[in-house]
Amino acid sequence: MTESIENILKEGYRTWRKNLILGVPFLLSSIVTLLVIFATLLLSILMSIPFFSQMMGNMQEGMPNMLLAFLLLVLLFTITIFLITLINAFFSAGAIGMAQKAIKTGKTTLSEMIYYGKKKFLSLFFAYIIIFLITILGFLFFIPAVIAFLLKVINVGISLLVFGFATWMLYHLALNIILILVSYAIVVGDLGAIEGIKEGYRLVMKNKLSVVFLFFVTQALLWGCGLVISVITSLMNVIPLLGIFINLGIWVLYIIFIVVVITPLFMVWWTHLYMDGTGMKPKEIPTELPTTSVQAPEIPTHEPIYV
Amino acid sequence: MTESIENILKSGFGIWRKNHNIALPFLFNLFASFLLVIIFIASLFLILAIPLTLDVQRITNSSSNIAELMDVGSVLMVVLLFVIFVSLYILVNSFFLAGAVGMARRAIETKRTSLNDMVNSGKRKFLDLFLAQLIISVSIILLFLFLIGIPILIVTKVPVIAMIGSSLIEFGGNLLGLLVTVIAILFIAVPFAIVISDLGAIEGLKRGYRFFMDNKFPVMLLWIFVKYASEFMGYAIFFIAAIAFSLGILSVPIPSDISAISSFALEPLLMSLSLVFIIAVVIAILVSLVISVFVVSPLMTVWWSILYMDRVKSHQRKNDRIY
Repeated sequence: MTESIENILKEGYRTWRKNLILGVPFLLSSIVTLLVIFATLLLSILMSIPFFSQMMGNMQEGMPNMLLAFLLLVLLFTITIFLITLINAFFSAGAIGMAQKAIKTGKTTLSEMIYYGKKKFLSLFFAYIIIFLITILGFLFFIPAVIAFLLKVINVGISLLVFGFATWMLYHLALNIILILVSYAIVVGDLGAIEGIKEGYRLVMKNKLSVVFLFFVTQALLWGCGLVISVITSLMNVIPLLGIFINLGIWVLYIIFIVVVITPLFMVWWTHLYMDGTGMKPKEIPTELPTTSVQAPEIPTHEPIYV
Repeated sequence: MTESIENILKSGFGIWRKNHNIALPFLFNLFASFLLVIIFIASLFLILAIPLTLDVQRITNSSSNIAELMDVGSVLMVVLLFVIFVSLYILVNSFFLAGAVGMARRAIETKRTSLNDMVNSGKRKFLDLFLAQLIISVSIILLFLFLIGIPILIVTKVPVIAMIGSSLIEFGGNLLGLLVTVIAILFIAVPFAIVISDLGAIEGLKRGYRFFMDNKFPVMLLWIFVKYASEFMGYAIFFIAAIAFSLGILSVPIPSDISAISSFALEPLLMSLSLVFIIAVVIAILVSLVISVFVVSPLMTVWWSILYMDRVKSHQRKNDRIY
């Protein structure tokens, strides 16, 4: 790690300021996701209507049909989740690709988004699925507790439940941080899903301090924004009826702000960190001198020096 | 030519590892504060109990409650007592904080420190640090009275809708929280300006403020790191408490059939459950105190001292080069 966190933050901010277009993939991703969810809800309501009318008529005969309807709904929701993950993968890959181009050359365009999106969305999608499976693995921590409850040993069951819950939380937290660079390894490093996960893990382990520091900074920024928003909304709450509508508007604006401004900024920072960790950044001439002090070499003399 | 934050963190960590005695001022401070709290509660008891015992006649004659027996005089006494003990607390805290900063400075400059540094630094600077901390505390109390006291006054005196009143208090609370955080960051360098640069209270406050203004980015970064590192420490403590609780639960005999618990077996069961829970909480509090005293506070002090000394030095060097 050659760059300090201050430089990453400063340069990342500068890169983002010059390329505000980086907010577009996130905006598009949110809009398309909302449309898909809306379409799914509509579809599920339409699907359920004929079955409801049949249910009203005859309960006994309607049973297998209700089961069918339920299974169809589950299928619909699973397809929706797959679709949303696919969309997310496409736009994330596009956004990261845009960020990479912006860092390398100073400027980026939407054509990069389409290029990187098309190129890497499948690898990213598979990585998301693998990460999801790894996360689900965390529920294994609850199995001892379930076994204890089944065996009717209640106090051991509660004990294992609490312990399992605590371990699961720790696992979740560690996983969040360890896998944070995977998307960047896949898109910027042009790797496949599994290679990307391995590389992401390796980089985090090699640059623990920088990763943890950047993680802290992103959390702090979100917390700071949240603090300001809560002050504003609590002020608006004082106004009787109008206040609630104003707050609704403020929340919508806040969410848009997070999606279009904060998320791209974070992404540029992480891309910066990845590129710096793998030596991909075009090296600039350092303006800071190294801080290690060099001591004057001591020349041992046995005779007095004659000046 | 300045040190990067990562270097400050790393060298600070190294210095802390070789000088664990920097934790001692914080340990002494903890004991002293604990003592003060006990004395405060004891004197509170004396102040309130003595007039009550003298008025035994009044208690037995009328059926008035305790609140009526406490007249304005004793309330004023309680407030006065509270002010005195808070001031004593800040005084003791200033002595040990000044001592800790002095030890940190010596450890940074000469790699080693001793309790002598704490006593020397503490004796010399505790009054200035006390005055500075007093000024900041009084300002925060004034802010509190203004932002929360006034809404409470409005709610109790003026007939407003309950919802508006509570929203006003909530807004005051939120704004107070935001302002206190801002004040904490603005004046975080004050103890270091007072002790390391050997300034008086007012000068220290001004210098601390100016230090933040000249070094906003590094100060924010270090503050963020310390804040979130402490938060994650909290998660670790929660984990320890959970383990303690889960171990303790093993000793509580819970029958296999929950529905078959008779009503008089329920109470001792709940009591032992609560006991285990309380023990786990106590363990968590003890562990967090230990970590705070031996790890967080000394590390923080060393880190901020390094940042302060490094940036002040480079500032001086810049000025020297100009002239």
